Amino acid sequence: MTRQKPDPSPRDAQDEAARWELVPLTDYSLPPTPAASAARARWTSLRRLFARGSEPAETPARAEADLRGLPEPVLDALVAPVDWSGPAEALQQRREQDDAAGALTCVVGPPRSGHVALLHRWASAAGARVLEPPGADEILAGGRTWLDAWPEDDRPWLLPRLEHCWLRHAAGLALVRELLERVQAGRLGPGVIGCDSWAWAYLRRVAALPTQCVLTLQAFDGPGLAALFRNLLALDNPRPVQFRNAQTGKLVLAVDGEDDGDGGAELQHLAARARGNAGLARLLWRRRLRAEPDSAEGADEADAATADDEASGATIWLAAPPTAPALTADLDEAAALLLHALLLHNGLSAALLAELLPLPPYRVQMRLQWLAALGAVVAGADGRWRIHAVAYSAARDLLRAQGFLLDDF
Amino acid sequence: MEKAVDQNLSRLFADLDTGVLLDLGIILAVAAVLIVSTQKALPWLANRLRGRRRYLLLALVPLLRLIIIVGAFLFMVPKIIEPSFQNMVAVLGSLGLALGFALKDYASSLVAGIVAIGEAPYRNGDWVEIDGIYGEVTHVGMRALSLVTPDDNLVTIPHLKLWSGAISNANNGSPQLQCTADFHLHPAHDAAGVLAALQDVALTSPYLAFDQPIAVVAQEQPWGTRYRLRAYPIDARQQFRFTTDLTVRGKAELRRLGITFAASSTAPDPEPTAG
Repeated sequence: MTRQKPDPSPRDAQDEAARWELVPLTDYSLPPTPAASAARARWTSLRRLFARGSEPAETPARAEADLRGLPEPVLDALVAPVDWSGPAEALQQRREQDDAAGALTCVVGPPRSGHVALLHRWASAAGARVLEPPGADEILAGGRTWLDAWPEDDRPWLLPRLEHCWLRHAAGLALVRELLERVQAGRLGPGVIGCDSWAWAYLRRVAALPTQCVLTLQAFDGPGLAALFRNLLALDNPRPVQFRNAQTGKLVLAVDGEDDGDGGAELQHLAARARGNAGLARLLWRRRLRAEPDSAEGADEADAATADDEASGATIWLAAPPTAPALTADLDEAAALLLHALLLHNGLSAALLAELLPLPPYRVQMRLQWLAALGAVVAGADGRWRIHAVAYSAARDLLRAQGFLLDDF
Repeated sequence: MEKAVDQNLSRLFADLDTGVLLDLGIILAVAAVLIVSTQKALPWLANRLRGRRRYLLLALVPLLRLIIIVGAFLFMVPKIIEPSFQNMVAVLGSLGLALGFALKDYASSLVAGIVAIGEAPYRNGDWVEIDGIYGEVTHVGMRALSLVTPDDNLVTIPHLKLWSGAISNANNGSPQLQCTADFHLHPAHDAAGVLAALQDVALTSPYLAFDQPIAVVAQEQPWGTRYRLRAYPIDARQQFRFTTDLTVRGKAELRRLGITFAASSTAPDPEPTAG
């Protein structure tokens, strides 16, 4: 199925250009948290403090219960994958401008922000060689073989996941220190390093990280997300689409209508919950989309026609925001250690978790299963356990409350 | 003469009729309920929090109790004694004499308890050592404090110790508490390499508090070299797990580097002199 975006209106094009902005790491500014959102978060936290065990699921509104979920093709039509060519071009321009400062650029982003996809897009446009991270055994052995096998031609290289080049182990830092030393000395040629924000925060304390040309994607606020979601709506035959809150009936976002709106408080809440992380906000937004029960016929057949009909239909309903798992401050210490290790390394296998944490393998497995049942972690196809998108902000809040090292995002 | 004494006493004490007794009972009951509820609720809430908020709440427990007791006392005294300066001096002076002679140590502990709330040499949640007993302060009462030792023994120590004994407080109201892991190595080794390795052992411990310093202290001994790795866990309650983690992973890393441990940490016997 090939999908063409309509020609963007001048306003959309302007929004898109303005929103995806690569800025120095220190210029990242969180979106403002609406007062009501902060109060709601505190109330939820307080309620959980006094309620042991898992919180009972909130009773859905009747209208919401009647709505149905959307198949993947429809979701893709309503919230298409981000086209990273613009930011990739901006990165290339930035590199050309900063050429005098050195041949190295670092791009740091929080989990699921999309910075890795952006870097791959840049590598494909710039003809850069994408380098795979070393294996765990190689990291613990010092990784000299991996470093010595570094390509020696003039092609730029991309190391998209620096967080997979080290382990929080006494023997797991030598490789990344040596890598950073060689890279900053210019011995490995021109290249780009991508790094997860949690790993960056940790590595800043244990290794000499570059300080020049460290970029990140600027945070999105409510109006920024409104512009982004409008832009991600892929339609062959654009008709006005309205996104309405299923519980209140209020208009959250209208596309191609007379009143495009700015998303109002709803999208500001979303921006605050995602801490400005547009990739995470997009995932949370997708999870909320529902369709009218009347248009259920044939929806399971996820063909293009249905997708177009629904995506260009009048109203898409937004279910209540996905409930984050109850990760309260009195959570078992082992679970908190697991969550922190998963965030620092942007995912780890159960075997490596047992290697890095002072927990026996069976206990790691038990805690992982418990956290997975809670909806806090999910196992990826690559065998790595990661924090679930819905649980990210709750996990971060928990680790902050317990005094763990946090990222800067 | 007896009549004059009776008249003085009757001026000293108010008439304790049913209404006054009821008032006293209500004041006592309210004070008791408030004390019990704060003593239960605040530690319960504090143990669900981490960091400074936990320690602040725990430290509030004895202070609130003192405020409630003083408040109840101030409400009760005018109902029992005719509130005049002379009467107060007479009654409180007599009370002081009685306590001073009959319950000297008990009174001293009570006074020390009030001083302990003011000076705060220990608070709930602190890790202290008093008379060689180390543990976490779980309760600061009016007369004594309770410690839970690492062996899970509950030890009650009167505040009286405050006057004469040394009190060692390891975290002093904050979550940070320094931990030390010892390593005894054979003298023939690369000391700079060991220092770097032990630093990394601390940096890679999942319990480490990053905003606190890490230090490795080396000391040459007759049997070899003693290294002390000092660092802070995220929470004081993790101190034993943190020290264990540093020790276990430190040993593994030193072995991986091929460093030999000292056979004995006691000084060798002096060589016998000839003759």
